Amino acid sequence: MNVRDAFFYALCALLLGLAVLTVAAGNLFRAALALLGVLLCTAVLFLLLQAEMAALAQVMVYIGGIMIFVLYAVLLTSELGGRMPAPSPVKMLLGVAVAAVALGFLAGLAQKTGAGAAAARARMHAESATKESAASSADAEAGVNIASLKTLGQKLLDPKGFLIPFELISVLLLAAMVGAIAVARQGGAGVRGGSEPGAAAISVKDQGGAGAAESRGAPP
Amino acid sequence: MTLAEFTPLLPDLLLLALALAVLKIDLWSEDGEAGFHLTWIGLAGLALLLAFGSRSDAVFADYHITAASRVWKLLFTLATLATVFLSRPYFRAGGNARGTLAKSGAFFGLLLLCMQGMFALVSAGNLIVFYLGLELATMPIYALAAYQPRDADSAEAGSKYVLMGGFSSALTLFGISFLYGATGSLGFPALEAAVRAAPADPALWGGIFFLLGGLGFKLAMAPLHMWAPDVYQGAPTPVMAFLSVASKAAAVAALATLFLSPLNAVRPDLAPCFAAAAVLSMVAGNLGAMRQKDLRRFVAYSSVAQVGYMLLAMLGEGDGSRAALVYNLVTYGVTGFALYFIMGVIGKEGPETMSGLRGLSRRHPGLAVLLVLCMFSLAGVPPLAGFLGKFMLFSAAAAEGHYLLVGIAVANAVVSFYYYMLVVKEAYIAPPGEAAAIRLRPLQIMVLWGLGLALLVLGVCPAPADWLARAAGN
Repeated sequence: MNVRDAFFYALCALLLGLAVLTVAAGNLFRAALALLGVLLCTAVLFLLLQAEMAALAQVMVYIGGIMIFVLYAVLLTSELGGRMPAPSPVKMLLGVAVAAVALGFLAGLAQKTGAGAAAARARMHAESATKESAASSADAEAGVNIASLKTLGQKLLDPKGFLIPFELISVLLLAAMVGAIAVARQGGAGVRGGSEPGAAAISVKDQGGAGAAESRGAPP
Repeated sequence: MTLAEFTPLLPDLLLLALALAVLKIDLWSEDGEAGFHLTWIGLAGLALLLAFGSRSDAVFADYHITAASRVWKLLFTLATLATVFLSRPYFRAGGNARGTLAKSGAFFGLLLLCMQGMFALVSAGNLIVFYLGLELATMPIYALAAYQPRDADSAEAGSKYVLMGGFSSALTLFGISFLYGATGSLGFPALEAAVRAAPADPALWGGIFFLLGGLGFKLAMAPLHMWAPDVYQGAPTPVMAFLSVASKAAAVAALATLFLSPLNAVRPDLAPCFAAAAVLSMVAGNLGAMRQKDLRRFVAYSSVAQVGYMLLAMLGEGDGSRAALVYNLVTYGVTGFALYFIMGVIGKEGPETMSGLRGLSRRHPGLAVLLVLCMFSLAGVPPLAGFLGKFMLFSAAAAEGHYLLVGIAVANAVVSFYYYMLVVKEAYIAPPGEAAAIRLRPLQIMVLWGLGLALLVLGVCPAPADWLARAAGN
């Protein structure tokens, strides 16, 4: 076992430990921090695979974006010191069952991928040679790293590559911004002072619904 | 590339330009009138362009302009146009008892951006464009659902839809990553070839499972429909209309785009899955709708039942199914919008509930007749549009031998007749309170006549159905 392998196994152990902590921690904030560690370890795993771009995306998207979002949500909604109530045995059993199914599925997939990797590689290579992406296979033959930032940037802005999705993303971001601003600016303080707390209203609505529905006609 | 090569792409580019122009013009227009007029004129022009413009097909990288995609786009454009007209009184002071909506420019801009997503969705030639289109077609609605100012229900609808939508997007994306892992390709042609070559791949089925879950949420297909009643009830009525027609059409188009072309090979194996979802949706929708007093909630449950009927078409063969789906969505859209315009009219003075319909036959007999036509059409009574829509769906499934399922669907349609008649009962038989006669604006009269005529014509005259079937089946 060389240093690289040792590092890999140590990393995996750390990752698994943090993953268990994520699920088992009684405190929501600690669980979120443990999840952050899991994501960071995954990024290092990507680095070990020499997929710098994937590692970068992992850090930017999951840690920079999603984790900060989760932490904000935790900070805004729950008391930091408080312990969460332990889940009911039924829920635990259900969780274990789902995890077992997912594990079995992934294990089967991993086994199949290991066996079929060579075949798949041959198939993909044959496909890319016949298909439109003759250029990329030429790149691959020339030893250009497909996952390098330069190739990725060129692919993103190539009309035959991902130009249309790239432009669509800018429209998507515009829509998200316009929507967020439009809603944030017209709600004002009134939303919070609404007549009925939303969560309580849901449970009544389906029971005939008359009360909840009609009461809205008159302002509080 | 020469300029002429871009002609087939013109509707999509014009739509983007229109959306940006509407957002921009709102900065200068004080009362939002300019935005409204620009939007409806632009959409009408776009509809004409899609119906009578360039017929040539084109492929831009992974963006495919085909005859079928043009039909879908025309459907989205008309649904958005109707939404824009419907929303008109909601932005006027005193136009609706629930309160006045503000910021019409952003509202129309968001509607148009949403439409852009639907356009991308039906033109998608690979999974990335597909996913982005799906996302762009839902993200503006998160904001639109929360558009009613100072209204806790609307805020609840917005946040609930964000959570549900985010969750379903994540499922979809997860499914797409599995598909990519299984087939090694994002493009639809390569995907189709890979699915044909190895239809039993577990990764492929993992992908399909998650994709169906994600799209099922968007479609409000039972058992993933529980968000729909709350979101429909909380959202402003024009947004609910858009959700129930345009957004539903987009979700159906997404299902058709994936499962009628690249994943067509596995569709026979998925038949039990579609059949179960169809039966569940019909039953859950019909049972739920019976107990509703709020019209928006009623529409939500009734639309869940309609999704159940539409899923039947996923069991038929490709071209016939697509034609049946498009035709059913057209008839559902026409019927739905007629109902929503009536809701808008009664919403001017009172809440948009069942009891708000009381005495409609005396306050405005014409409106009451239209309401009856709507309900008969939704229930699928023969001379009306809804009948032909349902008939095409049922025959698509029956052609492949799913007779038991069609029997269940027909039984459900009979059950649904009960609660549709409850609405008619409110308008005609329930004791009216004291209420003044209703006066309609010229725009409302025009739209209501148009929709009423369409209800009759689409049910009697098969020519539009033929045209749609030929265009969409391509």
